Amino acid sequence: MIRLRVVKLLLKRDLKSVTEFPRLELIILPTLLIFVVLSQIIAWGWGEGSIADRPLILIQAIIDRTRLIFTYPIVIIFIPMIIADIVTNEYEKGIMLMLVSYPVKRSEILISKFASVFSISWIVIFSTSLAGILVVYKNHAMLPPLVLVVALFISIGILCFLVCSVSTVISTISGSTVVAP
Amino acid sequence: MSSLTVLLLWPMIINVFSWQLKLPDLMALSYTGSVPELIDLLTLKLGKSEIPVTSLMSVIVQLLLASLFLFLSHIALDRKEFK
Repeated sequence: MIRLRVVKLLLKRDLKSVTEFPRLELIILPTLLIFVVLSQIIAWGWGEGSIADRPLILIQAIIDRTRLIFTYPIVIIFIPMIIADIVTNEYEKGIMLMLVSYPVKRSEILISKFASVFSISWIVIFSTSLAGILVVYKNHAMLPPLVLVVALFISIGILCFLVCSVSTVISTISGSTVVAP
Repeated sequence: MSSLTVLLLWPMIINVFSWQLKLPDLMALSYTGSVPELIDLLTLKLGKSEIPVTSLMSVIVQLLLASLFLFLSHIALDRKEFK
């Protein structure tokens, strides 16, 4: 049985290493900038007349295009990089050996590492998407239907789950900071 | 290597996103629509091929695949020998 209390303690430690100073800021700031600028450009590109008639299509266009430029690179590059860093780095520095020698199960160590990166990537990608939508709301007074936002939230979650699991298995098997990302 | 694997899995991931954009229509139809319309909305066609792939199924397959990967990493870490 997995002990939740132990996982919580390990998670706290892993979250600290994931959100270490330059790492998270380097991901959030440029991507937020790209998302907001892009959503503005798309909103202007539609022309003043047509926006009022087709708010749903506009919001869908924003989500569609920002996915291409913003979500794909962050998902393909950053998530594997973070997981590879927190898993393989600990192999090489011997921290994993120390963790294994403690009375914690290996599955608990794995779950805490996976959960920390999964939750952080889900929050970062969804909150930056939400920022783009809010900027459009401020300038054009349009909000997407709630169900679309919920759908976006769920689909980003599924995507992060799959990518995190793939990265975790490769990092655990290879154990090398060069091969894993 | 993980980035490469994610790229290889990309067609399946794209499927989930098309499902996400269809979800609002799907919810509206579930109240008012007819059954053929609902089936048409649930069906995706892969490229030019005629094989229909339900996007909801692809979501389930993705979740199963992700769980399998997690299970594999659990086995890998369990059998790892630390020197």
